[in-house]
Amino acid sequence: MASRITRLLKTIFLVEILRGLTLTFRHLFVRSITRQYPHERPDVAKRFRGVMSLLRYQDGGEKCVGCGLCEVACPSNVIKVVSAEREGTPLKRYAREYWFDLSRCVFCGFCVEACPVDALAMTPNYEYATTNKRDLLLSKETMLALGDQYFPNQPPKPAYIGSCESEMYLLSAKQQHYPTKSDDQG
Amino acid sequence: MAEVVLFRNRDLPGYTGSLADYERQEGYAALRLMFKQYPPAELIELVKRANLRGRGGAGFPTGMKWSFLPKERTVTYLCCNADESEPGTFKDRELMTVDPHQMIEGIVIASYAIGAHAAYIYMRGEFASEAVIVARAVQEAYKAGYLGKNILGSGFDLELTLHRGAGAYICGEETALLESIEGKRGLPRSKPPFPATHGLYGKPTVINNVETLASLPHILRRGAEWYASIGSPPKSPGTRIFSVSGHVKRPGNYEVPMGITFRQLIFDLAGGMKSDRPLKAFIPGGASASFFTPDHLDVKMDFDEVAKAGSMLGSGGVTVMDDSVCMVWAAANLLRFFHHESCGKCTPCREGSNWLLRVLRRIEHGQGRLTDLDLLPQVCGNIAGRTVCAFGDAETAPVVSTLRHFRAEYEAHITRKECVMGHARPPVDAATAHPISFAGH
Amino acid sequence: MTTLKSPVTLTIDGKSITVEKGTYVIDAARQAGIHIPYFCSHVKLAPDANCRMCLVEVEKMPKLQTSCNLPVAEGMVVRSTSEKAEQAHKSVMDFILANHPLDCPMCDQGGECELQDRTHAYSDNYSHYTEAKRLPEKRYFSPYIEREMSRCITCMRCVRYCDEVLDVKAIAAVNRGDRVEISTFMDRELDCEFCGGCVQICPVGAFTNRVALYDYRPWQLKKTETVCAYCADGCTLTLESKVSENQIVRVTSDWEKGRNLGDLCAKGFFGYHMINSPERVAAPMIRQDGRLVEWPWIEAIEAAAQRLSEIKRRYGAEAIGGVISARCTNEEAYLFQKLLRLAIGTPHVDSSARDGHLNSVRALTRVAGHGRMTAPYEAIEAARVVMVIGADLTETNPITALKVKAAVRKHGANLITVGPYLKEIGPISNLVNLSQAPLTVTPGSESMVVRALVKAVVEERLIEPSVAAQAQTYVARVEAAVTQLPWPVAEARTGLSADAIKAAARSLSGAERAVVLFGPELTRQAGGYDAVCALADLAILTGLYSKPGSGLNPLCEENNEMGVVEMGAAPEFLPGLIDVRNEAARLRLREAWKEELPSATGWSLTQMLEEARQGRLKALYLVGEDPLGSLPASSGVRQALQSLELLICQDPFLTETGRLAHLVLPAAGFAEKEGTFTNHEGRVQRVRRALEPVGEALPDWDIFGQLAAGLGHPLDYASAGEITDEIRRVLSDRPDGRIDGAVMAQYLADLTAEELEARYRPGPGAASERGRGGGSMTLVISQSLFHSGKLSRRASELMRIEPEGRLQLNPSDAERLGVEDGDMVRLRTMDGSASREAVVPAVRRAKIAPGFCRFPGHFPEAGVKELVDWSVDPVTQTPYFRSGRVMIEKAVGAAATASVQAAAREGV
Repeated sequence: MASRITRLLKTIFLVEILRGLTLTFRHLFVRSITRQYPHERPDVAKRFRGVMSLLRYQDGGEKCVGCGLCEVACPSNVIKVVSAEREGTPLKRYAREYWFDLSRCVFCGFCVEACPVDALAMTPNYEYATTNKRDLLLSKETMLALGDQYFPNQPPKPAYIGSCESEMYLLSAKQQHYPTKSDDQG
Repeated sequence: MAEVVLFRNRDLPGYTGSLADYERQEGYAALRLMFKQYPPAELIELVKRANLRGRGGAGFPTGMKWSFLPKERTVTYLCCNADESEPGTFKDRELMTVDPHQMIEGIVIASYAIGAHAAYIYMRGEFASEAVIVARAVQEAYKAGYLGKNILGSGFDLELTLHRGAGAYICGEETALLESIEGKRGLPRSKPPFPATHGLYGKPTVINNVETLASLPHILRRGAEWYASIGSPPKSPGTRIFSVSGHVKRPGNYEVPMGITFRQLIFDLAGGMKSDRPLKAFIPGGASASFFTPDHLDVKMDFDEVAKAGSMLGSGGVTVMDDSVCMVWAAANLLRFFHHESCGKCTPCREGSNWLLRVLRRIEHGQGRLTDLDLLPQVCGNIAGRTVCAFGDAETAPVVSTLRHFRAEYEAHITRKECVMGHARPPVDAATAHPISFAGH
Repeated sequence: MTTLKSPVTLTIDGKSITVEKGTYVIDAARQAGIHIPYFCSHVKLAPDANCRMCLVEVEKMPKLQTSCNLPVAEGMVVRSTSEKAEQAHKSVMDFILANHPLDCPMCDQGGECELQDRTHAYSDNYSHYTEAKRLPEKRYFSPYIEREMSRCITCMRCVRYCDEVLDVKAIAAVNRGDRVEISTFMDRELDCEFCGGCVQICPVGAFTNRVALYDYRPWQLKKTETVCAYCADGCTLTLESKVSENQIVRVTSDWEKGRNLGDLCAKGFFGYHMINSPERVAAPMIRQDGRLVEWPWIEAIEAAAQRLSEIKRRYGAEAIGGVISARCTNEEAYLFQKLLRLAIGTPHVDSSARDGHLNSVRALTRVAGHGRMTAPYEAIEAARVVMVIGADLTETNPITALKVKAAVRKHGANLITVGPYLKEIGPISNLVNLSQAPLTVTPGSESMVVRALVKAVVEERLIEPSVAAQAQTYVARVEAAVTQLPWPVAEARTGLSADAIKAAARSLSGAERAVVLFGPELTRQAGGYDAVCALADLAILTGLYSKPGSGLNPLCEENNEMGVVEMGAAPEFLPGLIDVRNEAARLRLREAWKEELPSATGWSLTQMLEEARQGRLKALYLVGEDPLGSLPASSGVRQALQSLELLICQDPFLTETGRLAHLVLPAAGFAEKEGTFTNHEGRVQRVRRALEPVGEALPDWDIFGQLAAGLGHPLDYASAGEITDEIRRVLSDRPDGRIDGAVMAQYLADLTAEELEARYRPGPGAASERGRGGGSMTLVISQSLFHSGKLSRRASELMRIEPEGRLQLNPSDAERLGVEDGDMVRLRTMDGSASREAVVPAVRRAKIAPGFCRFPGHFPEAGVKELVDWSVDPVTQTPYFRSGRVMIEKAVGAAATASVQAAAREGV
């Protein structure tokens, strides 16, 4: 019986609504948590995995040696590397073409881990939405530009002592008549 | 002093080593005696009874070596190893200069014993004037009928060829020597098969040292029993020439009966220490042997006693060092030689010699680490006994023995940058300061 | 399990195993499934034990032993995984890696590197070596092979391979210690056979393929095992291609597979560019208003069928002929002859095997029932005496040459070479160098040498006793016949002494196992058929046919010459080498095919050309053949082709003949189709498809099927495999390479004294005297190691290695003419009053006998083929156009142009 009266009173005085509105009103005094994207942009984590980029050494030389390990590490077959011998520099390997299909990328970062020369880095950029799907196929130039933009301060090239990548070695090869592959075909 | 055998003609006044001089000193008498009295089989028995042991380094019994040849054989070769390139050894050189016919007589005797009709003298490339002397002697012997067809009417033929090396330490190794005679790169062969079955041109071959062969005429003339009784019987009979060099008053070749002590050799015969500084270390048997300290001066100089003391009599080159010598420097210097002479055929020796040299140089110049002292014996252990030839053991011997006897000196280099020779200079970049050159050898 | 001759039982890692005596421990372990690591050991090479990686612990031996050169012994106990052995493996890895650079990402070997694999399996994760690494100076080596000495682990496999297997010795080690480098003599640019063996055998990336440098990563490549399409050696190749680009990237070969066991020649290793050549015909073409225009397949086939039917209706089926190239598969040759014999109904079907090979097939089929080698490669290697007649084997059949080299170098066989060749140390290996008593003969007298050898065998009583007993009539007849040939004549013609010939005959007949190989300089020279018949006499008399392990081996040039003839692409043979005149066999075939086949003997290639000129042949269907490019103008080939009403050319390339054709059909190359090739041993081997055909090209068998359907006579096969099955069914009763005893008995009985006498009667003179040209030098158009027919002309790398034909002559002749290497010479012949000439560059080769010169036949544009004599064999219709007499003089004016050309080439 008493419970019925209590319920009636609660109904008359709109207790439930008031209780609900209390919560609402209380939130008027709490800091807002909705982010006003794109007016407000989040700070992404340091290790955020965004759009892939290619890096350069301090002197502007491309880090990538075109080994294709990123290609084989990629689980969704995003990368295609066409490597070649750098013209005029015997045995110097580089990526003549580097294609990255962003539309298929799952941002797992395996390619970055696979890279033996740390030439790949994931930028904090996540804003790559586009109206043209073709724009998502990144060329080497695009990726290098991304690298320059997001990771401008890179260390100089390490001196690989005893490696045929070392500058001293390549210089000794260059000093003599040494036709490279592209010379032969030209 | 005891009897001089091999050098008995050396100090004769006016002795030139010519055939006439040699014949005057009962030269080639042993050869005549041999053709008269000894068939080959008995000759081998005779040498076995004399217990003549190889003078080249390993001290292997010569008679035994001869009897390892296969019973059924068509062609047999004899090679005289005159590639004396062990640093600190110069006995064969003097033997060949003073009395070349003694060696030639020995070669004919050995060839007769094993039935070889072609013999080679493999002469070290750097021995230019010695080659002239030996070539002249060979010519004389041919003319006098001691070589060539039907020697002394015995019906025995022997063609002797003088082959000069091109300057490689490794060609003193018997199989590398064979490769070199065949006209190939002087690289040691992997054994087995041994030269006794697959030697020169794949045929049974015996390789003996100059001193070993030069001893043969004397054994023949004076009998096996005489030879077996002199020196240090029963294991190391006979006399032996030791080349003493380094910080002594009278360096040179000394022919002594086996079994005298190093003290007698260094202090009595060679006149003791030069400028009378104390003796610090000596190498008892050529650069491949482990270092000895003054504690070992009373070790008897025969094959087994020296081996028991932890080194080897080797090629008989005794190098004496006084206390002005830094042992790290000495080891590094020897390694410089071994690195330069490593033939490069097998991995441990090729890479190991480079490794050891670089570490030793680093330590020598004050850039060592204490961990290097564990690394060095470890690398040495990985080389020794795992190479194609004995070179691997040879190149580790100086490192291991100096580390054993003079570890404190290494530590002084590393921790206090101290060196008796003042080599532990302030650090410079090791890679550029001591480059090991690759071209222009 | 096969029973062992002298079994030895030993224990390896606790496993007991029984192997043959003399086996090395490492191989015994492999048989037991235990892997002992190694670098320098290799299945092709004698053990060298230099890498020290395979150290194992052996009980009762104080030191660790290298298992690669340690023969097994009874009761031996080996431990490869004991602590001591494993420590040794680790330490050797440490040593090897001490100076090895860390450039795997950019090394082409990365991913298939033995050092990488062993490092993962046997090394600690870090190196104890902290000193600076060695850095040898980088020096130029070769445009085809890249040498990177910082990666070298000095296992010497390359040097040993080049010496032991190839006998070339182009590379060797220089310097010592850790300064050892692999280099050429005086560090010159590599000049060798370019077999690619050093690249293939290198366990690391010290030698890599510069032609494919950085074009691939090993894991990207699709591997297709197929058979090489260049020569008849029948090498198994692994074509490695990038699927996405439909391109062959490189060629390798498995060391334990195929007839070549991994060995390749320059053509196999570097010659793959012809497959993806930009010159390939991509679509069918039809002649319209005098020009060839591209046409859709369906209409092109219809047009071909229509025109063929029309000619058949107007002139009868016999006005149509077809010639197939011996580079086609067995299936295609079989279907081609079926198309012509059944769908069209003409007996005129021939192949390019007519050019010499038919001489051997015709002669040997008479004697032994088939024309294959009777001693396979294994028998060549195991032979005690090997005789090579009429072939510069390294140049013609490089892999067969390797078997001969192995026979001499590994097994100590006695090699006798017969030919106008001398010893020469040069960049290309020379079999004459391995011969103790080579027979250097007057050029063109090889067939006379054969006859003289028969005479020597007969006169010296060297006849195999079993033959002498069984075939007395035959022996008596031969004895009578050889009296026709007096020794002075034989000596004068061959330039050899009778004693030398007798000595050769003695060693040949006295050998326990003897093999005779004969090649183009016997079969492609005038009188080739008779020469092979005489050679068969020699083989019978010396017991080559009866002694096990012996044999008579014809050598072929094109890869499937043996196959196309056996498939019946010859007017005189039905499939299975059945004589067309053999009624009973024809009936059996008719039952199998359920169809009537033409009964007449058809025309051969040479006859077809003649009949076309006469106007009796109206249509010619050429499959992969280019008579205009290969035959000399004196054969009248141009007139013949021009007088045809219909010329169909089916070829991967637009050939010279193709430019004359009314219809050009694009055919797929060997890498784009399935089928089988038969090598000259008689081995039938699978050809597998590696690539999609270029453009609209189709496999030949597919085109034949469509054409047959168009002709209203369907020959329906869904795949090449179905044709293979049919061949297998139809030819199930044919002999499989064994000597047919009945045939031989028949031959020995039937051979008349007259024929034998004619065979041994010295003809009008040796080629040197017979030639019409009137010059002082004998010219032979030969084969080159770097080329094969004209297919190789489309392979860009082979064209870089040998870009032009050079006249090879003896240095003494060159000196007489005042000619240096590269100078232009003018060759001239006088035919009656007409003089013909050609100007070509010359090169001195000490190998070529004085008075002899040769020019590679792969360069028709040089015009040398126009200088030689043209004749046709009366029996086999084989065209002979490969030798003649020429006058040579230095072409003074042209010398400058040659050097300018050379300079221009180098500049490119």
